[in-house]
Amino acid sequence: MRTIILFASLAVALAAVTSAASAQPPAPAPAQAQDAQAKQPDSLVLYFASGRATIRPQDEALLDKAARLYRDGQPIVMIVSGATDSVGSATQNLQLSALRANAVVHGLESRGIPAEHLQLVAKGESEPAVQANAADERNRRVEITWR
Amino acid sequence: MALTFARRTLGAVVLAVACCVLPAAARAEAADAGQRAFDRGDFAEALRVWQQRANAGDPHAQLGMGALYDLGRGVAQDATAAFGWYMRAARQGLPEAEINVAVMLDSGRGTPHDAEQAALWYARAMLRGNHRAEYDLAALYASGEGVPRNLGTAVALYRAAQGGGLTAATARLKTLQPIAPSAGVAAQSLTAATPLAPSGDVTPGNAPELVWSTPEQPLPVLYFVEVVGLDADGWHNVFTSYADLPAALADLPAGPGTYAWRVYTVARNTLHYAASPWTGFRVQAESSAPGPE
Repeated sequence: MRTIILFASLAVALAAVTSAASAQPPAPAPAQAQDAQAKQPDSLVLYFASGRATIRPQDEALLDKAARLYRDGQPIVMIVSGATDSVGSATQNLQLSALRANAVVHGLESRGIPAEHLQLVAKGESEPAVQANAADERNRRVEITWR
Repeated sequence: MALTFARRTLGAVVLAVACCVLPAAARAEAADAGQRAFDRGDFAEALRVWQQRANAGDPHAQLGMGALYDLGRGVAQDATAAFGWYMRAARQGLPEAEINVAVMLDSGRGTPHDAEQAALWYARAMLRGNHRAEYDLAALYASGEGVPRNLGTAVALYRAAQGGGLTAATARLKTLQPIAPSAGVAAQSLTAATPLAPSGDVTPGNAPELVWSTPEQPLPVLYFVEVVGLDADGWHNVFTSYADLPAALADLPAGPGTYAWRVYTVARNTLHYAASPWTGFRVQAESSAPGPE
């Protein structure tokens, strides 16, 4: 699984993505008990043009919608996960997915969501939404989930 | 090849983030045992402390209770209960609770979707300095959801949000084209605003939040609000103010009282105006304030 997780407040840069890729992957932490009983998080999905990390004008309203779900005064974390189709190299796609997620993070920040509440995940082409066809345009996406 | 990293530390980092994001107002209460318990992850203790204080009417504890139910920390996750606690704190003028009530009404989480009420609570949160509320209320005015469609008001609200650092408002402003003033017919066709709140009984202790909605006007306008006190001797002016946005905080005399208020929609460049109807409200004595529901 190719996945990169960064906190947006650290000003995600491509260099960070590259250096992070060489880090040793520690064993996953056990899930907390309360997380196990939490409901399935809600989500919103934005799609992207091939090879692009620009938010489409029609998706600005989706970002507005996501921002209008955020509640103050609690440690809610919005997770922004970027992904790509399988066109191109795996490394390029990893970087592209980070750029897409970063664009969405900036969009949420520009709507007043505190950066420390945003978590950026770059999946590259590793977890296609449409597994039967990894090149499917629906895999060029950023999913926003919260809990 | 697995490139996952920071999974072990992620939990710790998330916890660290969680400890830093409760509202500043709540954190300001250094003696808040509930907050301290929450910060160290002892949600059962936070629940115990906050529940007691929340039932006694402490809005910060009510906000904390809302967060516990919202996230399912120390209790089963229950969005309806969360909304109820947020609402109790919001009625006491706590800004974080006001925006939470607004977004839950807006999204239909924990309560039926009600854009009109969402607009009202966005406006209240806006009056307490929440720029996100300005942006979100602007979106409602731009689309006509819950309020009359009014691009002029949407622009004013986006500008306010822009001034508060929400850069997305800049992009929104580029897409909005307020209706150009139409000379001649404008003066006679101003439409009076509709008072939304307050009416009826008002929780004492905070300046009442005067909120109204307004349809698109044919020329640039501003608002003039007027509050009069009513007593056995008649009525007397207690508060007047101009406003660019469709809401204002009324600075009233301390203590209980009975009041009426209205808002004038005033043309910026002429002497014409349209006055709303009067709306009455009563500020109760502190001791007779309604208790927890």
